[in-house]
Amino acid sequence: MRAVLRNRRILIAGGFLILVVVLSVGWRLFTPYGYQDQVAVPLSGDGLLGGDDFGRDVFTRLLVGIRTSLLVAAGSVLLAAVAGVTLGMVAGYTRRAATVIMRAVDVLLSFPAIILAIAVVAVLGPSVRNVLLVIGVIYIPRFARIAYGQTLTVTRSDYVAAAQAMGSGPVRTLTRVVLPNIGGPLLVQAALSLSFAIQTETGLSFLGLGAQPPLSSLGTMVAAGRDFLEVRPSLLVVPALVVVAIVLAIHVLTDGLRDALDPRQGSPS
Amino acid sequence: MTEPVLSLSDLRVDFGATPAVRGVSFDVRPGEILALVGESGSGKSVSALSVLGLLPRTARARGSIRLAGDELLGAGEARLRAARGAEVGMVFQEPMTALNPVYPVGRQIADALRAHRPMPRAAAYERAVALLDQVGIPEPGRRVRAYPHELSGGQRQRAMIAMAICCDPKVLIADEPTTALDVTVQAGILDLLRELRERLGTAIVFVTHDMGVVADVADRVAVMRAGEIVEQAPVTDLFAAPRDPYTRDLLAAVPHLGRAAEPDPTRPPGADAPPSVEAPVLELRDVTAEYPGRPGRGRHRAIDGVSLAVGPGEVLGLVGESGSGKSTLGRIAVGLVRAAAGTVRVCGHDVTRASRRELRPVRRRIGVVFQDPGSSLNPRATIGAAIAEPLHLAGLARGRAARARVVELLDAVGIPSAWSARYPHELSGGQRQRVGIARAIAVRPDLLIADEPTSALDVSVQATVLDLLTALQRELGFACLFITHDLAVVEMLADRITVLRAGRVVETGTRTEILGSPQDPYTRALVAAAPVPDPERQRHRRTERHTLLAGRYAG
Repeated sequence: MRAVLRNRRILIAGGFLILVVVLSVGWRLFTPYGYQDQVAVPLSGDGLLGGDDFGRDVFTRLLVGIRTSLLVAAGSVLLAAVAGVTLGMVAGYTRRAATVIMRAVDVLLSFPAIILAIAVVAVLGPSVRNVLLVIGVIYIPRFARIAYGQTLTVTRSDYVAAAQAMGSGPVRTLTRVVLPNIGGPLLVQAALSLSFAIQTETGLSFLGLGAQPPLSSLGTMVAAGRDFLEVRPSLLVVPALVVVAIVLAIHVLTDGLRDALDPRQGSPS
Repeated sequence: MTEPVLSLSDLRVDFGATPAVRGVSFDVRPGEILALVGESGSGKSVSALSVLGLLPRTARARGSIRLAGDELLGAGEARLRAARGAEVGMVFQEPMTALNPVYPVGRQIADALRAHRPMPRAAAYERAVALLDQVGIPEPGRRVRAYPHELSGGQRQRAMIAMAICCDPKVLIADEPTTALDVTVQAGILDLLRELRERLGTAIVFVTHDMGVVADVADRVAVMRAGEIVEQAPVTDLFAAPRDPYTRDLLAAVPHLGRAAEPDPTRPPGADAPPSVEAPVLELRDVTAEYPGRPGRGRHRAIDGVSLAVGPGEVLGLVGESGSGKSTLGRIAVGLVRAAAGTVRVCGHDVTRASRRELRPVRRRIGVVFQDPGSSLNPRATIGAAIAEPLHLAGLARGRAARARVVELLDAVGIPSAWSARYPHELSGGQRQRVGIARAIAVRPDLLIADEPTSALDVSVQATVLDLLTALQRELGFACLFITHDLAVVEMLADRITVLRAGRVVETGTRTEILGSPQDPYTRALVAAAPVPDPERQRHRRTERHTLLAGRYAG
């Protein structure tokens, strides 16, 4: 833990992300308005970030938008990680299930992700929940493949044989012995996926497939800001910059955490 | 006295701020075999590799390395390249990785030859055939086109030696050339090196950790420790009267085949008598095990009709060379590998086809110690958690009781109990194996299966771990299946010995029977091939071995 705190990259990136999460989740504490309240002169400089074309407070809508995007990203990655890691570990541990599971994963992997997402959301109807589910399913192969490969390697090691020889069952072996040893690459994958999921959510919402008005998300805000680029560029630039900053912070944080949490690594390289 | 062909003086090598070699000086004369011997981290390999400038980029070398009077240290890359292969040949530990797997060995020898002496390809191939013949590879004309994976381990090392001597080097550097090989194969390679020295007058720098090999092959010995040479002497003098205390400790730690043939006063009388195997703890009857082979090759039979029994409190040594199936047999006993035929009984329970649930109560009575403690301990678990794991699984202790038992076990294996929060990578190899042993005896097993528990350790560490195992076995009285390739180790521990070859039992008997008067020709060859760390006795054993082999071919 001390190693984590000593690392400056982790402190800065982590601090920024905590700030973002606190601001967006507890948005009611930081703004007197609701995200639908028309409280400003449209496209004016009223309030912290001005008002949008309907006269709603942009700062408020930005906080709510971040919340929507983070919720979708975190939820979909959690879904993908749980499903993907479970499938991958089972496939890697019980060779018999491997062919079936991994071929299904390959089929999923072979669909172009965004087009699949657009098609599915178009059928199911655009909503935050559907976008979350679709991104979650699309990201299963990323986790399944890594978990599968890593499990194959780790299962061959003597410490797994040792656990089995002591009478450890498959579930216990997988969760207590295999999972901690394949955690590093999966953590990195989860963080990468989180940032990609934020981008995918933004993209789908930009196309109108995600959050529906009046609810805001970073994607819908960029889309709405596009029409007023010449009048008030901040309507587009600010949410876009927020996406960039969050994605960057996540990447920096993962790199730092991976180095700091590996017990075999003496000092961060 | 002839001039030294290779001479190192005050060689110092640093890796960053860490010194690896601290002022090493030695000379090698033509036709002389100098053994550089030491434990891991002593700097013996680094010293040898620095002759050819083969150190990693992070290393900095100072001092002087003279090859026939010519300074190599600080010489340009072009000079070193001219020396490599032509003036100095190199033989590596693992021929499978040192040979390029995508080219036939003949082509690799021809390439090495043509790199130094421009000659037509056909002539180089012809010479390669002659070289393969010279290093004792049968049918060299055919084998010249063989890929490395098509040769046996011993043949690969012979091909590697053929490549090393292709340009008649003045000096041959052999870095643990027989460590990856079986003893019977090792004996052949050592014969070859001795013969090449005689015939070609090559000076050989032989890097090894094995005192038996030193006694067998060396003319002079330099003992290294922590980057320095602690003692340098002719081989007979060194073994007869070691001057440095470290050399004495090292020699004392080496298991010595034939030492226990003299009656051991500490052993209870009658320990060598065959114990009653009426109620064996482990019993295998006609066990067969198969691995799926490559497509079209059929199944590989790793164990072929093996029967053996380990009585209560008895130590059975299971000896065999690589590929004999000895590790598979150990895994069958624990239920990690299932027997295709035959019966496996542990403590009276038939476990041959037991389900995992049925196996559980049986597994509680078995402890397993693996070969490499570095890989058999979960790197993500503290050693305290590792030792507590079998207790949890067996439902024997939880919480405070488990912690108390962990402290007790750490005490028993001589590890400070305050270390229970440490991770395996923070421990040395020997300490890790002590943890492995503590984990194995945590459930107070009736049967301990030890699969080469000391072969990854340095000799001095091996000695202490073996002492620990012996003491624990006497105190706790568990039966033990001790799997090893090393006859000298098995002699220290085993009451009875079973010799395994190619999945079949060759011979079973008491320790004195097997080591003193082996009946089967294979056992005899195996016992004869094990080098003894005593140059006089080893010379005698060598001639005995040669007559034995000659007799076998004549008969």
